[in-house]
Amino acid sequence: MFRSIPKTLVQTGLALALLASPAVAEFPEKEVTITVGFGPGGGVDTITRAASDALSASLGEPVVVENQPGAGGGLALTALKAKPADGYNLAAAISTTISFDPHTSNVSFGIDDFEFIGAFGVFPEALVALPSRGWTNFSDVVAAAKDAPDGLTYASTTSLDRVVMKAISEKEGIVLKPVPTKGGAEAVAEVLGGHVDFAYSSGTYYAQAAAGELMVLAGLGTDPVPGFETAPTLKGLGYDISSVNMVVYLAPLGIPAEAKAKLVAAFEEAAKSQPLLDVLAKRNMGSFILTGDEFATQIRAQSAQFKAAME
Amino acid sequence: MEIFLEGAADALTLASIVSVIGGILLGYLVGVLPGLSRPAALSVAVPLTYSMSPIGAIAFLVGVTKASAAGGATGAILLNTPGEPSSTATTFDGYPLAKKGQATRALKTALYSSVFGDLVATLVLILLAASLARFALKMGPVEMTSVMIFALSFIAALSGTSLSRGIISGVLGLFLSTVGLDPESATPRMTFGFIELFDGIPLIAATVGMLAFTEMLVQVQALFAAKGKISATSGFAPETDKNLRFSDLKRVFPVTLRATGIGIGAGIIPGLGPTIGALLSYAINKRLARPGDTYGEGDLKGVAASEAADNAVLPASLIPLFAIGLPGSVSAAILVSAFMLHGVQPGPLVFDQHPRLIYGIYVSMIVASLVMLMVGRLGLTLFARVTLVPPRLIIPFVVLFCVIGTYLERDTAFSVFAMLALGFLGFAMQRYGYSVVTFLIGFVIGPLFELSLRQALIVTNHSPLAVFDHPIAVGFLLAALAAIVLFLRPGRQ
Repeated sequence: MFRSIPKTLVQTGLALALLASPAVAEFPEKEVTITVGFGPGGGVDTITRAASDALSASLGEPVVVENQPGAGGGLALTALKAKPADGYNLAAAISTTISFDPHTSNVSFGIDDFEFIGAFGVFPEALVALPSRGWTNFSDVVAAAKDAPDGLTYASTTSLDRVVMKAISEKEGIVLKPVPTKGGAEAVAEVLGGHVDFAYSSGTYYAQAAAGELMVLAGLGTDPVPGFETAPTLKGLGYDISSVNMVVYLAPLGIPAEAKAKLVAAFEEAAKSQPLLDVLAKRNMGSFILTGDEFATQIRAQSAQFKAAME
Repeated sequence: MEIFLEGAADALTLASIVSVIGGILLGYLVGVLPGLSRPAALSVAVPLTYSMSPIGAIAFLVGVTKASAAGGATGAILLNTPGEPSSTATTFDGYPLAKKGQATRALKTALYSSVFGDLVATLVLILLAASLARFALKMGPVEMTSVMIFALSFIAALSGTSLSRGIISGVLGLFLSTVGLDPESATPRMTFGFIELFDGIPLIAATVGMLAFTEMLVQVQALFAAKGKISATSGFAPETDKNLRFSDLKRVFPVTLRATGIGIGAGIIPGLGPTIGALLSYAINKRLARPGDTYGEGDLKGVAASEAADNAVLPASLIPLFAIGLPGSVSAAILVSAFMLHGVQPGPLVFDQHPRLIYGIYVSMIVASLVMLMVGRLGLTLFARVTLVPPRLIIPFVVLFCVIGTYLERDTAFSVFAMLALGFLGFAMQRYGYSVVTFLIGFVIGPLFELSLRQALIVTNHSPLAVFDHPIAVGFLLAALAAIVLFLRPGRQ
């Protein structure tokens, strides 16, 4: 408190001195708040908290992490849209919250409502099955589905996997019936118990797959799933669809260019910090990062691809 | 054996025991305060463990979870305000007991049956984890649907005075549980454009609003009715008897044992969780009541039926977690993130990779049970005095915690308004004899019932006859049928 009074006086003096010129005080002058769109303790929350120290070190101001879970990150993005576009408010969600959800559900935000600051890690999304089925990869599943009179069933966790599987079913002329589940853990339980033929999972399957109780049929990303490089990607099998789902950091549209540049630089710096890399490694999410314009280009491409797949 | 001893030694270091005690105290507080829920407390506690050793961190979190389940009974008994949604069934008999001047007896029954359920479930986890987890995987969509139908058949048993009104309330609960995103197509249903409703009406808002806030409205009404002759009495009969006798224990023990078994079952099967487990146990035990039992009017058996099951769920939900890597409850799912934070990936390999840590966790879980018994026993005498405080002082505090707790669940004022609205709905329902209890059963079971039914229809190709390929499902459906016939038989009660 006492220490900050002289600091404030100096800042006020500087501000007065600069009044004559159009320059503004340098960003950031106060703490930056990141609202995580998922509950505390989950993947997005853990990754954001691991990065927050490095972020505040490079910004020179504290970074406050809050949680506002709901609607798969949608609640936090709805709130973010209404917040002042000054660079002090960011939200953390996952790629599909912004690249996919606006196409399907009736959310009040779209891809053009935000500035894209940074994205960390890639969820190891994959299609998995019991090894006892005797399949080697996803092309065997397609062959099996062609022979099955009623088609095959798979445990689904998001609308994203339903769009992907629908595109494949139409291309191959097969029936793949999604069985909705509440999340990755339930989807993995359904496939382990033999209640469905295969499952889509964004990462829960990893421990079972590492133990050999499940096998990876195909990865959904542009690169193979780390640790299961022998399994093909859907792209590699000739389907023109992929999903690169990352933990993304967004700001409201129209934040000052200088603030955006500072934030992007801080995220680039934070991506190299050991605590963040450790957390990403434990969650099998690699060390891939994207920032600023590159990130915006990639997520817009994903959004366009999902839009096309749904038509 | 050597590894087991090393693990036990880790768990019995001063630092680990202090972590357990800290966790128990925090959890007990969260459990006692209405609205502050177990998953929320765990989420807040996870970052506190960043700097602890893995065993200390997990012991701390296990302490929080166990004690919040046990502490939840306190508010349920004394204020008709379950500290946790999972203590909902404890209010059915706990609060009438407190009104009758048996608050301490009810609190003691709750504590001992909690610790018993918890301890037995922990031992089952230690001894039988691998074989039980395999069984849990057999519970597919068809089996789950029949378990849900079985659970819904108990609406008939819990309807109170009027069966038709009980069923109407239950259906209303089912109906309100369909608000939110459709599980299959992710289309918003009855959300009226509120993104806050995408995940449904918040559970905490429903239980806190319908039970706690409704009860406060009833008490306010009573205060207004007594206007002019304001009495300093608390509305509770004075406590004459505070002791549990051997005859009480003998009477309650079979119920506790059965409730523990049901709680373990609810923990192992992913998705059921403590709230459904405790409600199921209460309903089953009520159905199996002996002559002379007074379930619903203040019977120690009712308290034990709910609490033993509630507390058996958490240790049991670690069975599928340790054996196959799948959490059996929301709390277990949050524990997964804590494990991963400390470099342990729960799953089939965990016993090969970290045996010492797992044994350490087992030992600290037993330590936690014992600490919980002591803390609970000390706290009980203090909390029982709440019955001496006049309502005009209690009501504002309870309403304050109702508001804070529902706000914390999702960090939006929307939840608070939902809680208030449901509170007024509950008040109106009670006024006209519609059961809040069957409403909550419908509301809690609804989403899981809908999801399992729709899953079952897909995997069986919409063929109802396919159920005969699933013997477990047939068993539950027959049990549901028997339950309905038994209850509707005239001349009973």
